[in-house]
Amino acid sequence: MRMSGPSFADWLIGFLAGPDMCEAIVGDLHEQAQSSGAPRRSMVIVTLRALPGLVHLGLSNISAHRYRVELGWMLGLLAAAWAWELNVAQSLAWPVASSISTISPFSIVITCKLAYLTLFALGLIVLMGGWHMINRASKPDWRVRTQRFGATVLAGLVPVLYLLTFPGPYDGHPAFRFVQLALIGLVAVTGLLVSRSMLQRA
Amino acid sequence: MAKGKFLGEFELLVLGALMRLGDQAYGVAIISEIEDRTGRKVSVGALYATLNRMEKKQYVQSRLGETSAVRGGRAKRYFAVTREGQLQVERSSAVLHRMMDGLPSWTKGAIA
Repeated sequence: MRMSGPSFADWLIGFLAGPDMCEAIVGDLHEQAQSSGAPRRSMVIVTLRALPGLVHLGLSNISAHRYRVELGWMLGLLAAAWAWELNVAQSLAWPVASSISTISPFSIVITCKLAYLTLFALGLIVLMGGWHMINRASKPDWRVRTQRFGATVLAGLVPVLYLLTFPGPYDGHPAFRFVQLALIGLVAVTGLLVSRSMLQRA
Repeated sequence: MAKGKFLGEFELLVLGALMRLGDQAYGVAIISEIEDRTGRKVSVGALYATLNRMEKKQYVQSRLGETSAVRGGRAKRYFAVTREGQLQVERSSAVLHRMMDGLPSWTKGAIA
């Protein structure tokens, strides 16, 4: 008996690669994540404990209201980063790869890893884009922008640290870790270069 | 025997796991069986790519199973070795044993 109705991701997976095989794959990923959730939960708890201190470190003389707003912003980023990595990048990598495998010059496994990396990088880019949009909407001073930048990097970094410590479902080859690191570094450096004017004192 | 008829190392491991697990062979169980017995890390993507390939070659067949909360309500897909798959395992094992036969005793453990 199905425990819950199909989500949009379920529908997309079924559309891309046929419902039967993808349901099994996503179910396996879900089951693996459930059974290996302890280290992942530990990292999330450690990060959550560190967040209030990090907000104070960056913004020591702000009002209590502003502090709560910035803490909420950081928590939101962190949740979004984890949700993206677990529910989108991991779940959609295989169906995306299987749908383009006929035109891909690589094997299905390599194509799957590249699809996962691309989705992961898209998540980081969306995080940076979110940082820009919120800054444009609220027009804070450079200190708050810098603090939010730190939050964005932190939010993107936690899943990365997890992935580097514990193998993900598509981490078959050790070289994949270096490709992953290089890609994440590229996105981070690009984000820093694009955003440097926003991090300078006005 | 044609070159394409030989099983790869990972294919042999997967077929061995399917035989051991019997009617309980689905993704997570297959991965656990291989990892427990070989110490080798197996990714979901690599496993399903191999199973998909062997299903096309008719070495394995699959059926949809039950759903559960731990799987987010998604069905398991059970795999089983076909007669053709069993023959391939026997052939590959025999070839491996013939290659190892007569080698020094310290190599025996490699295929035991």
